Amino acid sequence: MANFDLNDSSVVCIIGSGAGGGTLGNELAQKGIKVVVLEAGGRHEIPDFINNEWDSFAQLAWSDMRTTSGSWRVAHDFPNLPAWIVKAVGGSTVHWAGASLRFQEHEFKVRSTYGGINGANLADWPITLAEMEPWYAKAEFKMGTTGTNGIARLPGNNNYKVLAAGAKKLGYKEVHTGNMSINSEPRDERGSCQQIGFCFQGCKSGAKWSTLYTEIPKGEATGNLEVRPGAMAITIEHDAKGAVTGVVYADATGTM
Amino acid sequence: MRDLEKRTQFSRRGFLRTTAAAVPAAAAVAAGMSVSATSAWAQAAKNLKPHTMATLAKVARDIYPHDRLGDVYYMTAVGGYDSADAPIRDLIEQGIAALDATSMAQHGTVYLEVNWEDDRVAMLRGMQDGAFFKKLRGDLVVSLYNQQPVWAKFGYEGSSADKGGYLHRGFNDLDWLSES
Repeated sequence: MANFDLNDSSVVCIIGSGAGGGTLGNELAQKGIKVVVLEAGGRHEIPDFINNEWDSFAQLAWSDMRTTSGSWRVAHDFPNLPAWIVKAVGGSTVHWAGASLRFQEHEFKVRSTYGGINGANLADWPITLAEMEPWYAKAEFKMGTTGTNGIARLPGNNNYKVLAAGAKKLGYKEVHTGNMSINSEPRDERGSCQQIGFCFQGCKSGAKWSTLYTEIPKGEATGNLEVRPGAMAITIEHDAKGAVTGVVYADATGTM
Repeated sequence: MRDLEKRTQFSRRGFLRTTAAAVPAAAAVAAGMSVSATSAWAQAAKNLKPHTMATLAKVARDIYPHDRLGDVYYMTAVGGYDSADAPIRDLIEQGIAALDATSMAQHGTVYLEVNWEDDRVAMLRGMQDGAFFKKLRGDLVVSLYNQQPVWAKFGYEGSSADKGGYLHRGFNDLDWLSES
């Protein structure tokens, strides 16, 4: 496993090890580029995950005190409760549900489709579905998204059966369990879903795609990728022209 | 389809063993007593007044009312305040005192002795934006609902990975829909 010097300027520095950072880190490492990924949180592997909502929240959530404002319910009821996003290696890919839907054509053109909203800066995306399609395809293949690449969909649970029966009665023709980046059959050295019910607390079977146990170990195996847990980026430094010269981070002890 | 037992399960031997070694809260429920300031549980408080403890338990039930839950769960939920930091204990004592003052003015008796739930809830609504109520409401989400025996009462089974998940334990065993 790589371990780069703090002053090694040949190394690409990525902040965050989630869906974006973890994937990019692996892609660069596969191409022979040296990468360090700074991750603010700790590293909790599959056996460390806890099938207990509150204990898992304490283990994985972004525990720094949250500040809230405005009139929404959370600001009123739990203004300082940490947000249930993950501060750990893998980021929110540890916590996510695995739902992996493509935008539809009109969703790239929200303003054109639905019209502007006074006082809001609603805009169309500057990219199109056609431009994104090859990347969607790449992501679905990597993540093993059900309903794509010939991968069978997950079986429906009791909740699904009720919803599906209702949907069919309403006349819906296409009813299924969705495009999920959760293995319905063993794939990519990971097993299939055991219907554990604690997807958000970290998937104990590893069936759900997370950079923690897919992209990151693959990148690390090349010797080009170092993931540095407990490294919280504080400042991105740059020169007069705006070119980045370094990243200041606090390690687990708070040392900059 | 799998059916979950939500009633508390006691064998006679288990019941005797439990009550013999029980904390006062469990004994109180087993003996069918309601929460009062003179109960052993309330009297065992070291820092808060017994009357405050008993009222807290009542307030907890009024905020999150579940008829199927025995007093013991509400007592456990508020029990921690007795050993909380001094500023929190002050907030609690002052909150209960304010509640009783309102109760005396409106009903001529302390909160604990007001018999109608609607009357008690109306008093809580009157203080719902204050620090005392917000503290209680927020804390109880965890201190009440994160008690494992409470989960069983609601049919929630807790951890499942250690049992192999629900793949072979009924995740899709619904049998009352003809087409699904």
